[in-house]
Parts: sequence; structure tokens; C-alpha cells
Amino acid sequence: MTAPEVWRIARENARLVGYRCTQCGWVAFPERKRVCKRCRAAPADFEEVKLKPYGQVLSYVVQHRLPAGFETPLPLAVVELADGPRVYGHLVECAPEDVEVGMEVEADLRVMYEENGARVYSYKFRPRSLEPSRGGS
Amino acid sequence: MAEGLRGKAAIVGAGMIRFGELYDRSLEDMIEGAYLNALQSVDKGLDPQEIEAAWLGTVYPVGGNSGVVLGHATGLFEIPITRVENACATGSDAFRQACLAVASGVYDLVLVVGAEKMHDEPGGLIQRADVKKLWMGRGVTMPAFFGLRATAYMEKYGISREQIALVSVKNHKNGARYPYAHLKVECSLEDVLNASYVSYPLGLYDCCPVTDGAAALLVCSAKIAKRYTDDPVYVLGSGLATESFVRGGDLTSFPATKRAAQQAYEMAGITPEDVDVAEIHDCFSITELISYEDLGFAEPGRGARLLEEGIVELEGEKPINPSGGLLAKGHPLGATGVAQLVELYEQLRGEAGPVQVKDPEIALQHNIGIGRFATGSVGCVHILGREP
Amino acid sequence: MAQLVGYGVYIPRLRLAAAEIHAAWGRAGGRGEKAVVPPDEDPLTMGVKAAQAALAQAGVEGQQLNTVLAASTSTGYAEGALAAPLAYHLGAEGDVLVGDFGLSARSATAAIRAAMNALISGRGEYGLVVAAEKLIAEPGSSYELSYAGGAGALLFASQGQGGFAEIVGFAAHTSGFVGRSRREGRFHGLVDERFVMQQFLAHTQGAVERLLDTTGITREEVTHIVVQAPEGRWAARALKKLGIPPERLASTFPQVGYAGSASLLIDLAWALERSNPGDLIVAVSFGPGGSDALAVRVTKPPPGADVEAQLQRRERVSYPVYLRYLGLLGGERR
Ligand SMILES: [Zn+2]
Repeated sequence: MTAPEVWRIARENARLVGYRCTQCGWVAFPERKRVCKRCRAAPADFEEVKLKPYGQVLSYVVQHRLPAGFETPLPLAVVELADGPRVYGHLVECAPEDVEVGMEVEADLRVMYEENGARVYSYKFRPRSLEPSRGGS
Repeated sequence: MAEGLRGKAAIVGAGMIRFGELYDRSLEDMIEGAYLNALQSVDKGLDPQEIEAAWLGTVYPVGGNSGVVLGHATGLFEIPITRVENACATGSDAFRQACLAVASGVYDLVLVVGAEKMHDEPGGLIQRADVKKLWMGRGVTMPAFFGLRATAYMEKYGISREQIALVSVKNHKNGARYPYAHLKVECSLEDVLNASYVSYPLGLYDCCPVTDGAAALLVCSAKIAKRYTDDPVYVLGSGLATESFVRGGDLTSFPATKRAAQQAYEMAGITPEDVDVAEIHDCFSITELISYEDLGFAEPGRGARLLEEGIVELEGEKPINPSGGLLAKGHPLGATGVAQLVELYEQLRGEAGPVQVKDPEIALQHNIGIGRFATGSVGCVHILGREP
Repeated sequence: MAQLVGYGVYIPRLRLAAAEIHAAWGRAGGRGEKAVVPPDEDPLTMGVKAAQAALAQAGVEGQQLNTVLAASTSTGYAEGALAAPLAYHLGAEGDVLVGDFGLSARSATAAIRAAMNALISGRGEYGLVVAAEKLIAEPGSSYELSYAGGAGALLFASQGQGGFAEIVGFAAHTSGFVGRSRREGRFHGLVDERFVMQQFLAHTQGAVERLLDTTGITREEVTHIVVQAPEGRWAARALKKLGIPPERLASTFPQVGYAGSASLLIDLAWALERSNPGDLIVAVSFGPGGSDALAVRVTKPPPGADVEAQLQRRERVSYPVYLRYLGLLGGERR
């Protein structure tokens, strides 16, 4: 994503902020919406949600073939955050053979890539520990 | 209630080139080849001057961002040419647009070409994966997108990698016999299972190759079809839908396929049981398995039975992907849907040679495309028949 | 003076053994290990995590922060803020005083002093200080044995907010001495280490003695001492020179290595985690320009933290992987 694209979702991305459709409960993230992708309400009534920085692995793969710049094998998951949004997430601090469907994971701030020399940050996920959460915000 | 498409459009010519790593042929060369083959396939002949409009389905802007490249490839300047792009459903959507145009009565005879030059840039789709994305699509290659479905499907239904691998074995067996296929090698179950992983649980043989290719169809109003052939193939139904998993639902099915199939079946007035032969989207082994279920050929979680019981083999009751599918024939994105229709045209006319199935009356074609950084899909389904 | 209401650290769990570095260069022996920053972490990600731990410990929300000051010599940017994006990630924006402290490993203590000043001068209720480093040493150099990464954070509140400790003294010992330095995009230049050590001893001693003199604190009262030392044995020498028993030293150097400005906050957090009411902690920094010393009086049982747990949470990396992770083996540095 280019700098303006990242800037437009800066708040949602950095602080895990979503928007819940008051009609059907679907949560928009990371983009701010005026229509609901699930119930088609247009305009929809959205309320801001501070997303809990953890969720569950809905499914996963272990990436063996990727463009340069990725460490492989890389476990990659569809994560459903506790408040509903579904996102793609790279798993860190987790051996590929230890990943399971249904596994609890927590958001972990990381450098995602560099664009014109500037690092762009977002969250990866790691197995959720029972210790006080340090992930997310 | 809208009238639908049934019996309004017909295919009277179909041609393609052999798919493969075509380093010595440009995008325009390939389009030209498919076009000439389609023209020459018309039983009673067809004068290029009769073609009133054309649609080009292609994804990469190898020939620029317009349909003009089709004019350069075919000489068909001055008529309307529209470039269509809809991920891996690009070719079938181009065909769909042509059918709608003919059915509307605006044109009598039109050309549809699907083409893709994959090998002018190295690395295939994996190297083109999005790497600078947040939350969506970062490092989510196509093998990953479908591998995520495979993991979810195996988990939910207790299906093994072996059962999924049967798709690859069947399709490579068919592809080895199909004249236009890119890969003409059979593979064993062990070959599939022992191959290196691309995106676990999917290995190399679970994935389609990187392929160049083009295919073309001549579509006309059903009313004048017999002018070109005594044996036209009629379009009975067409459906297209989109979806995103971010809306909810589990990851073991493609709702866009279900919706598109529902639209097409209703328009055609048939049920899944009526389908005699099908070319369905098998960009990856798991895709075909899930699509059996989404298209109504099997109950959810029971798709593997069609393979285990031989039902979908070339000689089975419901042969699926006699061409070898995308896994063996190859998947030049924009060409794929059109090539599937070319093959089904030949099947319905009894001209499919080494992969001819027994006396089909009704055929189904299906694509799934992935879009918007691996967060959305498009499903497209067509139903063809020997009678309008 | 300002109250301390929270502290936190982030220690990357990857560790490289000194023996493995020695072995790679054909040398025998080597004790201890150092924390290795993975390729997808940097001072911002580590600083945010340390700060979140401090905020969570204190039950303070990021948007309550009025001052956020960050120290680092290794963001990799000649221009490119650390404190402001850090504050933003924590939820603070708008009327938030931010400041970046760098160019010297000493700067964590300068940030602490500045945060205190901000609170004392009435700038809101909460001030956060973060120090975060990702030091990269030239392969084969002596610095390679210790240069590491990590982050630490201290959360201060204005008088009246409660707290478990307070800063009861602060003293500087500034000179024109520079010592180890590094040009943009290069490794640290090698200097005469015996000379630097002498200066280290002189500056740390100068700062601590001035602290004791100005506060009236006696050596016997010091229950824990934190000495920011770039080399393993230097802290013990400093204590000897100061006349403070070696067992009072609070140092994570054997597990973490040297993480520049962050080392001071990590070791201070480790001391706080193990302290009791009535304890007095002295911390002294060192870097180009000299030393600062501060005294922390523990007034209540400090809230629990996970410093020890993070020290224990380890995963070993091999030397080649370490080189690759820091972008020293070709390929892309991320
Ligand atoms: Zn809604």
C-alpha cells in the first residue's frame, strides 16, 4: 500500500479500531464504511468498536513459495478477531507444525514491509499466552 | 420475472491453440491462432465481415488496457471491441457479455476471445502476489487462498490429503489425452502426495501450471444459428455472483459459485442431475472438490465420493474436466473460461476425440476468480445444450 | 518529584550465545548470550510493547498520556520520528508533547529527566519514557559479542496520582568525551577500549557521587544499582570504584547483552520487579557526552511485571540465522 493508502487506515490499523453495523452486527475493519457488506444497509449506522487484540485461527496454510522478502516456511492464517472481523495474519513465534484450526492467537505489532525506505507497521499474530496481554493496544 | 437467456444465443464456431509455455508466440499471435481456428471450425463457413462486435477477456495488460489489441490480432477494426477483466472468471464473463448482447437483439453475430500471456514475465502468479498490503492479501498467493480452504475443508469433514489428491490424478490422466493440454503427463497418487509443498496442505501437483494460451468462440442469435451449422450449441443459462469471506460463513464452500449456479440452473430450467459433462474450475485440486458440492453434484463434505466411485472419470456417469482441467490443460487466466466452453462445444457435438464422453446433451462450465487482494471471489456458471 | 506508576520491558525472545559467535570466528570459549531482534521488529514495535506493558500495569490508557519521550540511537532513520508514532500506536494524539532523544546511548536518562520536568512544570498527569534499540555490530568485531536489542518503558505521574516509587535525585556528569560513535549507515568505529573504559569509570563515578552528595543518600542505603555498561565486566569495575558491593548490581547483561539506552530501562525494570518498599535504586547511564545518575525510592510494593519471565522466554538462533536476520548476510533487511 502506498503512503496515502496506509494513512487512510492509520488509526484503525495502529489501534485496532473497527465499526459495527447496528443493524446486523457485522464489523468493518480496517476500512471505515458507510454501507454494510453483510446486510446491505445503505447508509448503515455504524458504531465504533475498540477491537480486542486477539482471536482464533479459522484456517491456515504454511507458505513454502513466496516472493523474495518473506521467511519461509511461513504459517499464514485467516484469523477471526474476537469482535468479529476476519483478517489475514502471519503467525510468529509459532512453529508451522504447531498451528491448529481453532488456535487462540493475539495481535503482535511488527514491521510489515518498507515503502520508499519507510517501515510500515501492522499486526501479525502469535499464540495467545495466558500472561497479561502485551499485544495490540 | 425477467426472461433470461435460454435458447437465445448459440455457439457456431470454436477454436483454441494448444496451451503451454509459448515463448515464441506473442499475445497477438495466440489470439490470431485461436480466432483462425474458430473461423475454420464453422461448418458452413463464416465471413469475418459478418462479425458485428467482439469481446476480449484478458487479465494482464500485456496488450494494453483496451480491447484494441484484439483488432490488431484479428484485423477486426471498426466494430465495437470490449475488454473484459474479472479475475479467473474473465473468459467466461467475456462470453457472458457476448451472450447478453446477442440475446438483447442488438447484434446477430459476435466474437469472444479469451487470451493470456503469462510467460512474458518470470515467476507466474506467486511472484505477482501482493506483498505490500495490510490485513488483506499480504503474501496470500493463490495457492494460499485455496490452501486455506483445503485446511478448513479437511478439518470440518475429516477429509484426507489423499482424497483431495484424487482430483489431480484424474485430471492429469485426462489431460494426457487432450490434444490442447499444456501438461500431458499422468501422475500417481504417490506423485501428488510426495511432491514438495507450495502452500501446505497443497503440493506442486495440487496446483495448476503457469500457462500461455488463447481460445475463441463465435456466438450468434439462436434464430440464425443454422445458417452456420446444423449442429449449433445453445446457451441455456448463465450466472455470475460475487462474495467475500469477510462477511461470514465457513471456508469450505464458495457462495459465489452456489449463487451463480442457482441463477444458471433456474435460467436453464434444469437441475444438477441433468448435467452430463462439466468443465469446472480446478485451479487447485481442492477447488474442484469443493465445486462439486457448490454446483450441487454432491452433498457438502461428500465430494470425494464422486472420485472414489469413478463417477467423475471420463467413462463415469458425470465426467468432469475431460480436458484435464486447469491442472493439466493449464490456466491462462483470461483464456480459461473460453477454452472450457470450446471443449464443451466439441463434447456436445461429439467432436472431442480422445476425451469424448458418451452422448452428452447438457454441459456445465464454471469458473472462480479471486479478487480484491484475496478477500473476494467471483463465480461464473454457464449451461450449454444441444437443444435450445 | 514525579511518581513512578508503571514500568515494562520488551526483550526479543531470540538469543545468540557468545560461544557461537566465537566459534564462527575460530575462537574458543564465550559466556552468556544476547537478545536478537527479529527482522520484523525495530525500536518502534519493541518500544510500543514495552510501553503497553507499563500502561497496562498502571491501568492507564494511552489517550491519558500528555508527554511521550523516546530514546534510541538505532531507529535507522536520520529523520523519522519515534516518539510520535509510538504515542499514536498507544492511543495518544493531539496535545501530546513528544520528544526524540538520540545520538548517545546516554539519552534514556535525559528523557527521564525531561519527562519529570514536564510533569513538575504542570504538563498534565502522565508522562511516558521509552528507550528502544536494535544495535547492529560489525561481524567479527568485539562489539558483536554484546550488541543486542530490546526496549524498556517508565510511566510517570504527577504528584498526587499515587505510585509505587519516586525519583528522589538526579545528577549529571557531562564532558566533551564521545567514545564509541557511529556514522549514518555504518558500523561503530573501533576505538581504544581501555581508554573508553577509563572514561566510562570516570563518568559513571562522577555522576553517582554527585547524586549521593546532592541527595545525602549513603552507599549503604543503595539496595540495587543499575549501571549501563557496554561491556560485561565494566559494571563490576564501576561498583568497585564506587565502593558498592557487587551483589547490589542489577544487570540483565548475561541474558540480554548490551541494548544501548534500552539497557538502562530494562535493568531498572528488573531491579523494580525484585524490589521492596523502602528500597533505593540508583541507575547510571553512559554514552557519548557522559553520564546521568538517578535515585529511585520504592515506596510501595511494585506491581508485578514479566521481566524475569521475558528473560526466561528464550529461543536460540544460530549465528548464520542471526546474520541473516540483521541483514548482514545479503538478502533484504526488513
Ligand atoms: Zn449490517
